[in-house]
Amino acid sequence: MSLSKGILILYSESAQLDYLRLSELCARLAEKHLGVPSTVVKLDPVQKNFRTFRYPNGELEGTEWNNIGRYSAYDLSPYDETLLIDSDYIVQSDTLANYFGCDHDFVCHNRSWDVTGNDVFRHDRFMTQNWFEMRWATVVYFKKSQGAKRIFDAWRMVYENYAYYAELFGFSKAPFRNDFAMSIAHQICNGYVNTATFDYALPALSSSDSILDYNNGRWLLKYEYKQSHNVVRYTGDLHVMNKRSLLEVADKL
Amino acid sequence: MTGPSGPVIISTMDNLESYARERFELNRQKQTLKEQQQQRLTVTYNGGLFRVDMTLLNYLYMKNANAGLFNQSTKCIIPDSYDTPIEIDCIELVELCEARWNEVHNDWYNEYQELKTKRKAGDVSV
Repeated sequence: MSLSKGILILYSESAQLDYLRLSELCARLAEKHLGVPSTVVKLDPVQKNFRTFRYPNGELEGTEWNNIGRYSAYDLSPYDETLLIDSDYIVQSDTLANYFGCDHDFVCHNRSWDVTGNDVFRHDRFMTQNWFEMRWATVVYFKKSQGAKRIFDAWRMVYENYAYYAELFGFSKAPFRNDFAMSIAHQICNGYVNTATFDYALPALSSSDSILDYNNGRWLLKYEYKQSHNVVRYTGDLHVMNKRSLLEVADKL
Repeated sequence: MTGPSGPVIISTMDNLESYARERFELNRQKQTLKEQQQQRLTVTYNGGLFRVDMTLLNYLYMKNANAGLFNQSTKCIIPDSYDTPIEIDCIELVELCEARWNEVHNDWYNEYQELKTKRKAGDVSV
């Protein structure tokens, strides 16, 4: 019997950004490149979360960032095998399709790679000062299985007791970070072993860099280095943290 | 300042800096090209995930050569990228790996050939 496969995208409304448009864009491109159907689900935030983004012009924006509820993905997914992806992760290759049918219950990234070469995510390798390895919840592959359910249940448990875990592991208890909650759950359920992670780093563009242009699978990205600007060309999947910039080129994608 | 053949431009830190600012950073671009291509070098086979690299290709070539020369089996068990033992047929897997290797490296080569001639950030387009 063949297992059903698909993409799940969760989003919440925000006053500052059109997350529905981002989610629809993300779903369309993921379907095109991975050849599987997608499901977009709107989450009503149980609790509001805020985060400050720094944009290329140095502007700081405190924005509503309703990311809570991703631990419900296991119950929300209608598929046997699911790729849970953030609405700002733009699929441009079939790389993730390799993971359908793999031997794992739950796979996520344990490294993020700054495509501009600025290496801004070097500080995110570890969550805490005592080197607790971080995972990224941006892209998660899971299958309906006991192993995956255990991780999602643990993820919810960490969310519900976030202040305790923040104290225990030594990180800030606000704002709530899915990456942190999932990292703890993933590590607990895997016996604190660095396993079940994608075998390549998550390609990402930080919020202080932007998209200059896009054409036929190629990104032209502008980055800032020591107060100067330069460009780099990149082809492939991309986690675009500068969502405003992504919306500006959305029509070209 | 004027020299025998006209004005002499003295390089100051200011104009060297602005030159550096506008110069296209080929070394960064090379690193980005390398990373973007390498993430495509994974194939799935018989439930396992294999990173296609020279070690794997060499092993498969060697197994296939031995099968031809010494009548050895082309079937064997090797660990995948996640250390899960997977039963493989070397002929099937080498075909898969070679196809992916060539596809990725052709793209990498073509992109590099195009980008290596760029000198200014403004010359780079998509």
